Amino acid sequence: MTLELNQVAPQVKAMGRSLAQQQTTRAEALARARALLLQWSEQQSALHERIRRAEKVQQTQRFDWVGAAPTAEALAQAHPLPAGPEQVTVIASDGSQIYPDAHALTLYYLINVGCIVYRHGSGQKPLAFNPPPALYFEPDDLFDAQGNLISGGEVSVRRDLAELRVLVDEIPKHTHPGEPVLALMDGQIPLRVIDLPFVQQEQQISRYLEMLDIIRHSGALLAGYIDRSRSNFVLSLLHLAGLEPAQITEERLRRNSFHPLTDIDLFGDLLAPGERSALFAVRAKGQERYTQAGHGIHFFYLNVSARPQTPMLARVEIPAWVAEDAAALDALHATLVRQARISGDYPYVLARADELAVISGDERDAVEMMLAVELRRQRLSPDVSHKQRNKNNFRAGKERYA
Amino acid sequence: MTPQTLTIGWVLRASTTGFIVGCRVLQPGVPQFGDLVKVPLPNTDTDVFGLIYDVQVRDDPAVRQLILAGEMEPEAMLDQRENRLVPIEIGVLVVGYRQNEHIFQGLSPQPPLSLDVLTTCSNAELREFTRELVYLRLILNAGKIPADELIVAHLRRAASAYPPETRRAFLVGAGREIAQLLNFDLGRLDSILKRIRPVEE
Repeated sequence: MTLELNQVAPQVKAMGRSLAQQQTTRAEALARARALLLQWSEQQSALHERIRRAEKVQQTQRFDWVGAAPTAEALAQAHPLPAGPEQVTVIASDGSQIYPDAHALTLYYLINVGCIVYRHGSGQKPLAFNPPPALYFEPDDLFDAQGNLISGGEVSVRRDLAELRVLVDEIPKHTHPGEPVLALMDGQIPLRVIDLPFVQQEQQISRYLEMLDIIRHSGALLAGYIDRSRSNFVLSLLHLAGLEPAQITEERLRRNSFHPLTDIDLFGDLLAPGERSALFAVRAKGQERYTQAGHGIHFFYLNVSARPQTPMLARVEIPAWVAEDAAALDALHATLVRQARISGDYPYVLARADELAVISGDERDAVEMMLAVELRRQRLSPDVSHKQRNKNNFRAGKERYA
Repeated sequence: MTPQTLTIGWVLRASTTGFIVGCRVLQPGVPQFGDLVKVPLPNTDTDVFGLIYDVQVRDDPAVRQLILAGEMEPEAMLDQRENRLVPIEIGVLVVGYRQNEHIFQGLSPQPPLSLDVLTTCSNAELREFTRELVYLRLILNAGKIPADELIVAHLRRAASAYPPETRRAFLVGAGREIAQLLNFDLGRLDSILKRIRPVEE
């Protein structure tokens, strides 16, 4: 054991004390935020005016105001669990990957996707499957024009695209007349392209938007489910609401008075079991292309818990075309709660899609072994790097001689 | 028309005295405690016969969570039982083997190997195997299995494979065999005999 736990122990104690002290400050901030939520609950026009000012400020600064914009729904309104459709099909996909490793036997990466199609009310066995995993090894897959190795971020983007592709492919196969189809993603809807060069960002977002278009035209509903969200979009809006128009400056916008609270803290006690919050729109410069393409990201908070004493909130993202359809929103709301209650606190299909997709350590080792055998068969001499070999040897464990 | 034999599962691990078979979902009525089953050894003319003495349904954290949540849907149940690998392990006690068309009661020369297929036995095979009852001693002497319960369940099942007019004779013969084996433990003998007593039809 190399970690000196006796030296960590006093730091753990200090951490506990600090967290306890923060509770008072957090409670005060939370009370202020809730008061603002009630005060501004039906003042959507005034809030939109402030958002316009904030966005005007950011135009002249290297600063992006990221927050929530109100919709027609009152901010503080809780929406009870609707009845929902008896028969509804939920399709979920998730992905996993082996990232390229410069210290491994050879350079490659692998993407594996799992998918489940669950038809509520059918009495049928859900369809659970993996499309063929994709192994990438050609130089064009691995290097850019400058010879740089593909980043983990770009592999993640390709995985996200593969996850959405499965949903696009499966929706038409499982559409039944008069029965909603919900395509469910794990995490936020917008593609995370922040690690990519600008040109690639644009290309990948274009591909992604094309697939969102297909889902939209299929008539299916689309949602991204974010468990334990750390977002503070609504708190950013409330911070903005608390500023006088003349006070809206870059510096004041940056200094969010509710930090480090999250929106989950804000809505935690406001939503009874099964209830959802008001619907909000995401305002962020990085998501303008989604809005322009008709997929503007909206969200609400949802308490999937069945027990009043233990709220379990998730943030649910939906594109504008779902947000604008009240019946679709109700179907989505009810179906997500129904899904989450199967396993208690999280949509069953997402847990299963993850289970289908995940590449375990043993499976990764098996892939490495297959590669080693094949490379040797091809009279190549693969080997891990000196660094990796030393790590493997030193981490394998010490032997003690009495 | 029901098939003569049915695949139950595949051997997970084996020894000379018994083996464990894994299967995904129990089929209705198959297998049952006390059933005579067999594993044909590939590339030989040998079948290893055994009796099912244990069926274990394993759990995993996901199944526990679903039970705790308490809002089970039929679709989720089917998913868990048929799509997810919910391992069911069947314990089999070796009681004999067939080689070159001859049945021998006792331990087989070789155990089955991993992934050999376990199947049910037909009624004809059950009658053929139980023509001799020497293997009952193997059951009574086996450790860590519910031997008395196994004998009772197995003999009742075997009797049902005989025509009605010979069932009584079969069970009486089995009773005599057990009486010889358990003449030192009358309480145990009595308990078994009472439960395999032929039912007057």
